[in-house]
Amino acid sequence: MIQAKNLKKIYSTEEVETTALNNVNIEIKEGEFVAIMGPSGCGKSTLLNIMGLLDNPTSGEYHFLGHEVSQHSERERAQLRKGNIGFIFQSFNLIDELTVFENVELPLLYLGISADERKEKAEAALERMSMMHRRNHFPQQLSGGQQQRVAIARAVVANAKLILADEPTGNLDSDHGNEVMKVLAELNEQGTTIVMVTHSPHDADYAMRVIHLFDGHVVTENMQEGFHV
Amino acid sequence: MLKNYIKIALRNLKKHKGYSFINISGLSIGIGLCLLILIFVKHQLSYDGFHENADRIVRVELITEDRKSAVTPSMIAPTINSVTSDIERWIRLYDPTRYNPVIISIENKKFQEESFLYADSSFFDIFSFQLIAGNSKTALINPRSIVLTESKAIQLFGSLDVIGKTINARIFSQAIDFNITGVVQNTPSNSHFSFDYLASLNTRSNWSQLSDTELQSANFFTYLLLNPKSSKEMLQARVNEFLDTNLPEERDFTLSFTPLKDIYLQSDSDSDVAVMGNIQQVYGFSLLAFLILIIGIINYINLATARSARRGAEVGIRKALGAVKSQLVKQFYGESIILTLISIAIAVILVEVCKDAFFNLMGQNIEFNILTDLNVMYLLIGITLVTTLFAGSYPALLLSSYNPVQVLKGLLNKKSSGDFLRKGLVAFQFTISTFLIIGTAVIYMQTDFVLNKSLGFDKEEVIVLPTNDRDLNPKRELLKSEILRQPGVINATYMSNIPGKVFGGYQSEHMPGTQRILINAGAADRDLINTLNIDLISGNGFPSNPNYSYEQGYVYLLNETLVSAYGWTPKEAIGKKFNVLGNREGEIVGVIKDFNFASLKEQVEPLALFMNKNMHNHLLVKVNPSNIQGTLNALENVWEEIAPHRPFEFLFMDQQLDALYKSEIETRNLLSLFSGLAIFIACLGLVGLSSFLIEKRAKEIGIRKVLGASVASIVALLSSDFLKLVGIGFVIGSPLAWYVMNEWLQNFAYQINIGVAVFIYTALLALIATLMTVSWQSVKAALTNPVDSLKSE
Repeated sequence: MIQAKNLKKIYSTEEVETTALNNVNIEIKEGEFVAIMGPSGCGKSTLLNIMGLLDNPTSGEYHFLGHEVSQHSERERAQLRKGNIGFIFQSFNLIDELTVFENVELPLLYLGISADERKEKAEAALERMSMMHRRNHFPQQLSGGQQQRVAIARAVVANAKLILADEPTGNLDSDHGNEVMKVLAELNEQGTTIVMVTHSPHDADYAMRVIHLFDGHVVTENMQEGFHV
Repeated sequence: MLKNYIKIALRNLKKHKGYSFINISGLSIGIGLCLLILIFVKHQLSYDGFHENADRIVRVELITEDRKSAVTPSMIAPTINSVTSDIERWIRLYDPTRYNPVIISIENKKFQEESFLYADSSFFDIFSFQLIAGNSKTALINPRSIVLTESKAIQLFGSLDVIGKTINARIFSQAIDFNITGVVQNTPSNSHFSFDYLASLNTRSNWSQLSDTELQSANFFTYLLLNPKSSKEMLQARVNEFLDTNLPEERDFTLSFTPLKDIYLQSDSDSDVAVMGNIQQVYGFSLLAFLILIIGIINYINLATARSARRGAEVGIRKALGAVKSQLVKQFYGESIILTLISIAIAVILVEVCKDAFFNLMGQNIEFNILTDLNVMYLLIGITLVTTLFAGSYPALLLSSYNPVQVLKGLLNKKSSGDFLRKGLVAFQFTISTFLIIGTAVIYMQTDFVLNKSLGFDKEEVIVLPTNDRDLNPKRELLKSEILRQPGVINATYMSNIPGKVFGGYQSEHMPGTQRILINAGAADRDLINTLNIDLISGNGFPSNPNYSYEQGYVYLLNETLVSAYGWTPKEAIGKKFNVLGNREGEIVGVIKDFNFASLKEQVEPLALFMNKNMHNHLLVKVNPSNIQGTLNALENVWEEIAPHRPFEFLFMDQQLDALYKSEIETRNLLSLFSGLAIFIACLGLVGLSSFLIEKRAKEIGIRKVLGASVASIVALLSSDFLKLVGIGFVIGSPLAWYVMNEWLQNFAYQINIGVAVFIYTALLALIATLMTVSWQSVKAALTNPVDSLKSE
């Protein structure tokens, strides 16, 4: 599903060049659950952004669903992203002005799906995350764990093949964190590919495979012996 | 999708109430003012356009040596008609109320009327005033015919069924019975002349002026209806040719022609039929209204960009979820359209509520239905587009171009998004505000100056009674002596003309054959000097002999300006021969100190006063200020006894003089309103902007406090940023204002010095306004516990 070859990402400001990723080679197959770990500033989030088609690498190749996209324009990337990739963020990133239902519905809106179908799909996604009873609430009225469940519902509502999660439990206490990790694991069991950036070895235990990054390099890739369900 | 945009726009408005209030109030006030000014401008531009023949009608003006006059001798129109085939019809209007009001009597009721015109019978063929009753072809054909306006007919008779009835009009002390031959619709407010009564000009067929051949008696407004094939230029050429061939050498005048529709805004003639508009004022007010709208739009842009960090997160999420740039652009434009539409709705309500008071302030009487006018619709669509484009573009284009990676990571906070633009716009707002404050202050000071300047005579507590009436003529001395016996009366004098109204223009000479000087001249009696407290510099003044009469030889008082025009000293002038042309030989008996008998817009002109009891048209009564009402009652009783045929009418001389500055006072009122609103909107914007920017610097403030900064130093730090911008606005705005206001002051012969004080006060005002708006937020921020601001990051 994902193939990265010699990925390089350099951020340059007027005076300094920072190499965030250096010759990263990664392959992720459909149905995998991969955790990316490493210390702050090692390039985890940069890698995730490139995988999520939010950003282009400075050089190297990146194949997503069989397309070489490293030179795609923003518009082309947006087209490919729509419906294929769902995002989950550490800080949830729900739109405060929209209700739970409207937040979940939003990706379908951008896909141009009819109102009836949007309603059906968004309700199904909320049902799946046990958040239907909160459908008319605004994000601030929910706990962190609930907000993240809404964000997950939003990530899956369009049947995304790939879910990218950037420290999904980072802002949650351990109970809510575990809850979210279980949901992700369930999604993975149902066939969704998941790539997750995390600091937490506990969360990483849910993944099949852990990629360790250090200063922009892949240092190790470990297959997990077995994982929690 | 559209529904989603509208929903999120409305929720945004509701959630950020302060932000919405600032934007909507600024925009709706700006739009409201633009609408009001549009109505005003439209009204100004529509003058006389309602006449079917408007494009073919010109007015004749008389240009002599140093002036252009709206009135011409009566012979001009028939003469032009006889020498060219360029004109189809012609008409003369004569306005007797320029000199004295007309007294209308019906049964026992008397009315003093100021809106009375004589017109040739072609009136309704040339102008499109619609008759409600009567025949437009014949209404003014016969002598002693009169047409009333609808509202006059109702006022006098309580009905429109008045044809065939008779009214009596006392004009120049002659009482004439007029037969009512028509009722006409009220003159529209956009007609450059108006009337309540229209009488047939041939009523005065025995009047010598109607067969006049002299230029001195230019008394008629002359309008020509051009042939469809002719043009103003062709007519001008033909008339010039005629004048050149038939009146060579000694001719000292030319004629010019102004198209009917240009008269109101572009006429620069003296002695016009009414107060005319001013195209500069129209441009000026339009510009000001637009500037205030700009201030409101700037608030929107500034607040939107200041909030961009916050909105940026939303943009990032939407982009991550699949939104493309064009969809976000549409969303942000949509928001600004919604905001503009709400503002327009409020503006329309504001206009409906305020229009009468506003036009009143402008001295205009404009009837207007805002909801049914197509032009208003166009303007509203235009304003929506302009506001949306100006106000919405920056946020729409800027925000939608954000890279989602950066905004999601909160990188925007670190970049100074739109910082320079925002600062520039704030400085621009305060440039406009500074300009308006200084402009208003200068106009205030100048009007105050002209209203209170010592004129060289006492204008206070002087009551003027019009006494130009044939039946009153023999009783004038009796009237004066009776009035002088009343307890509150200090003194009284007769004058032919009163200060503030035109004195007659005459030529004067010292000896036959010497150079003639154009002067103002009029009659007064021997009590003039004491009543108005005018300084007599040399000579003994008018003779105190009660038996003196002008038949014994004229006696003259000259003002200093006239004396020095002859090159004499005040002493030398006494006893010299002097003649105001028209058989008035006499000698100079006194020189008086210059006094401002006309507007302070003009220098004191040469003036000669003589004694002639036939010209005692006004009685000026100086009264004791302690019981003016009681004195007025006493005067009325005296009047009733001596002149029962005429209603008791009076005016106060100071009010008469103040009326000379009506347009300046209107401009002042309007400018005060404009500058007040401009500052209000600009300060509102500053409140919003400072709260966002201070919020953005919360972390910096926290760190500074942790490091030991005092509350005062933080307040100073935060306020100084804004003070700098206001300072830049002041530095740009004040020289601009100084220049423009100096130009404006050139309208006055007597002007104030603008001085440094205005600038200091303006700077202080701007400083205080800024500190008040910015500092409470700064203080709030400075008092915040740093723990709160630091942990949120």
